[in-house]
Amino acid sequence: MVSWIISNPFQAVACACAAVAAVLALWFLIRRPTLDRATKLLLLAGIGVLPLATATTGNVAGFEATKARRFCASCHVMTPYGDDSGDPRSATLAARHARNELFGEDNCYGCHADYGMFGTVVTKLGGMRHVYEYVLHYRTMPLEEARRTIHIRTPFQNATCMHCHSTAGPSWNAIPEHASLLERVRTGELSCASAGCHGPAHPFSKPAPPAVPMAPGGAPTADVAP
Amino acid sequence: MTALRIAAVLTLIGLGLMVWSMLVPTPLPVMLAMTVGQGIGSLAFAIYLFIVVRDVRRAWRARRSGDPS
Repeated sequence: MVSWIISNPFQAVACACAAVAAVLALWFLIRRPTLDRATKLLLLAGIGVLPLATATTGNVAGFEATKARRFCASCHVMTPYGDDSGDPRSATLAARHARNELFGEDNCYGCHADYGMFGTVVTKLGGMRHVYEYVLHYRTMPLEEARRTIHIRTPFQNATCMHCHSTAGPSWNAIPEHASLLERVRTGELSCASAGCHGPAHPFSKPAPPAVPMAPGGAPTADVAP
Repeated sequence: MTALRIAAVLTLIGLGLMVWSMLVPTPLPVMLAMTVGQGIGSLAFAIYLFIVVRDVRRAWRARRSGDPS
């Protein structure tokens, strides 16, 4: 309990405010005091100030909770993705990123978030769409069918990878394939997740990749969507 | 007084939804807390403000007219 409070201070504040507000509301309902100035002030705290504090800190805690992998994987169709990301033996791109402490338990959000000025808002709106789609179309769908059907709405953008892998670092450019494909990667013409490059982050959700003919320099000649 | 009791009950419902989202942080509770829960809480506070402001205005008018009631 103590560790839960320490690790979630916003949740702790929200729960404490909610508890006091609930006590005040119950006191008013059960004891039925006269509506004098003291009662009005107590109700101002119980109906106004404390619930407002609960909502404010609860919003922060809620937004943080929506970044967690367990939140994404709480819809059954996402459990294979969550399980794979959390599997220490998995060698998929998603799992390897999840083992990076910069991503950790928030690795879904780390790779699927938009990073523009309004990135957080755009990402949350996209999340609302996910919930809408899940409730209306995928809630009762068997996992195997969902695995074949679900796909990323728009192709994964290299810009998201480049948020961390800037393509300007010497160690990145020391890899011959990176150096030779630099412009195609930066412009997004060639996806980082192409077959022949890093491949899809969640390969178990994709059909077996076709054989990709390789150019003399070792680069794939065709872009395959992630 | 009845309106304030309704406001208190609405507050308890709104708080319940908000706390539920923190104890079970899955999409449905979180979305309900941020929409329905906060809407109910706002409605409760609006009822409270309406009642209190109405009482204050009544008292003010009574003082101005010299009516001791």
